[in-house]
Amino acid sequence: MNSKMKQRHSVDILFLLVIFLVFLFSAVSLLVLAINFYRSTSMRSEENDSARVAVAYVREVIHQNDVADEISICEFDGVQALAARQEGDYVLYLYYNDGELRELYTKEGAQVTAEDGQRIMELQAFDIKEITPGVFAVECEDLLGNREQIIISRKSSRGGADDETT
Amino acid sequence: MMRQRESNGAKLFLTELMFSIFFFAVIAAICVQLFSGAHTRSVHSKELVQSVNLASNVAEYYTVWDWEEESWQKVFPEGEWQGDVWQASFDESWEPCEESGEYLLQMEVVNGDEYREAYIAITEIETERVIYELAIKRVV
Repeated sequence: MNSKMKQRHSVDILFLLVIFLVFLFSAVSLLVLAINFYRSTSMRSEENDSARVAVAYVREVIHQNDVADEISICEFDGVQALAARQEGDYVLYLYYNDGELRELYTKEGAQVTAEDGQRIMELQAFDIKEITPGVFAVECEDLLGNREQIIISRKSSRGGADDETT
Repeated sequence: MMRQRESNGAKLFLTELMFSIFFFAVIAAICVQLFSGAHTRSVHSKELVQSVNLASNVAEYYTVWDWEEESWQKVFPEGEWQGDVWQASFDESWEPCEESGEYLLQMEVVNGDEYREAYIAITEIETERVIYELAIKRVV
């Protein structure tokens, strides 16, 4: 009788222990699941942002300075650059140097180097080319290895924009 | 008396544990729902970013295009013309693919008297869900 009671008592404890372990396992699983979801969501958000910011910046520079054919691709201090000529013989260079996208606003012909430019953001690769007259293709790769490519057209060459997007 | 007290303690602990598990299950169900919602949103957000980028590229070139199919194909070799519709397929990582992929970009050109309009739409092929649409008008 006594041994039966003892056996029943140990089964009770074992049952409680099993339930407690199941509870613990579920709690840890949920925590791991939450961590993975959070990681993948923040990773995706970062992927969305970094390369896109660089190409969006180039797009803005081209559209802002899209006046009477003043945008061109040139070589500046040995690096390929996008040059946006502005009033008063000033020029804005946008280029990739030492793993960074840089910008330099200077007077044309001034003694400046690519090192003098203001750092915009770090990138793994950046390339800009004029695929057809007035159409630029910008390709960049961010530090996570995401590639982004955009096509931007220069509208001023046709004497102003006549397009309307809705 | 002692045994009775031990048995009551175990029962109390069991009841408490059952309540904890019940509340945990309810909260876990809510959490999983929230996490999966956040995951779906982030996937849709990435799709939208890619779609806006692709549609903008097509729209940018459309505004300066010389209406020659050959020059269009030179800039966008990933797609093909079928009448007045240009379309390109993309796989799940948004790389162009020849066979029917995950996403489809279609641009329909409509010729008018004053304008040539283009309707750009990016859809998820399996669900036919339109991710992004853009309409452009260009003076002829």
